[in-house]
Amino acid sequence: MDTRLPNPDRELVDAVLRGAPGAFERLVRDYQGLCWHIIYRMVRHPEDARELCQETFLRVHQCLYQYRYESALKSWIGQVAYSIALRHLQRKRIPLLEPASDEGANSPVENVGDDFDLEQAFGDAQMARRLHAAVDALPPVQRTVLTLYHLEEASIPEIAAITGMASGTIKSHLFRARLRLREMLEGRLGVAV
Amino acid sequence: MNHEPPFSTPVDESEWAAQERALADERAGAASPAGDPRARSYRLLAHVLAQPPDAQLPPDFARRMAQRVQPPARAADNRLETWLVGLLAMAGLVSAAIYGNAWLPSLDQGATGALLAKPWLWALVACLGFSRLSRHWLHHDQVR
Repeated sequence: MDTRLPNPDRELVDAVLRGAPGAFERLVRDYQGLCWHIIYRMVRHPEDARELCQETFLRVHQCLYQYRYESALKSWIGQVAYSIALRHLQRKRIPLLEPASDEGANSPVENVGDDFDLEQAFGDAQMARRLHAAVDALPPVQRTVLTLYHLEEASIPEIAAITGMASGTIKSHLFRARLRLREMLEGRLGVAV
Repeated sequence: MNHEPPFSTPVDESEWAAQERALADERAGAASPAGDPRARSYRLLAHVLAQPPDAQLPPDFARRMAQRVQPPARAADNRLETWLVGLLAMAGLVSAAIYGNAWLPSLDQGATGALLAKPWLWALVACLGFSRLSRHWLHHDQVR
């Protein structure tokens, strides 16, 4: 198969590598949203997240010659951002996942009832704020997987490429995080909504 | 044929289907489901999760990053060029101060020549030039 077919990633990467004026600025503009969403969701601290975003793009600029087009440029840059945020959390000894968050638990579906009324919930700004707070309370990896899937509209294989986790693990994180948020929303875990 | 990757742990498939259906409906802008609390909960979740965070990167983030990674050779070229222009201006000023008495009077022909022969005019030009150059240097320091 001809891997030299023209594609936007290759054109942009070639332009950056030969130092074309404005090329790196365009690369940053194209992917700063992705990096921000990954890093900010991981670390939650705006100042730290800005610094880590800068570090990400400096690393991208430094290592771009190593990019081999084996995955989309989006996944490659997302992987750099994810690993930098991960290292930051590890340095600060912040747990990435709750202990035994995925293993050995009974199905939480049983905890959820069918009598919850959301008639007023959709128009309630306070409800949205509480949901955002509930998302923030999730472990960093689950927050990030949810953000990539829902906000960045990344596919499960793309998220797997970014995070280095297996697709099955991504699906389990998505399932459990959304179920947990539903439980919080419906007030069955002691979180008033 | 099912190409979906399997879950790493056992899950309730109907619950997963409800989560995915709510996400698809939210993206398609479908009407809010009536009479199904689970579907409505997941729909609200899908709506909230698609919202970007309040905090954002500064609007000029990309431009600043591009400046930070400017190749050192080009930055050094710019600095060298600026210093050479400054050096040339200083050399001109020193020459005018040392040899000006000899050749300035020779310009004193006609109205323009008379003006050019005035030492204060050259001093004024030198001051303006130095002011312009120092502004350029200061700007460079701020950008870096």
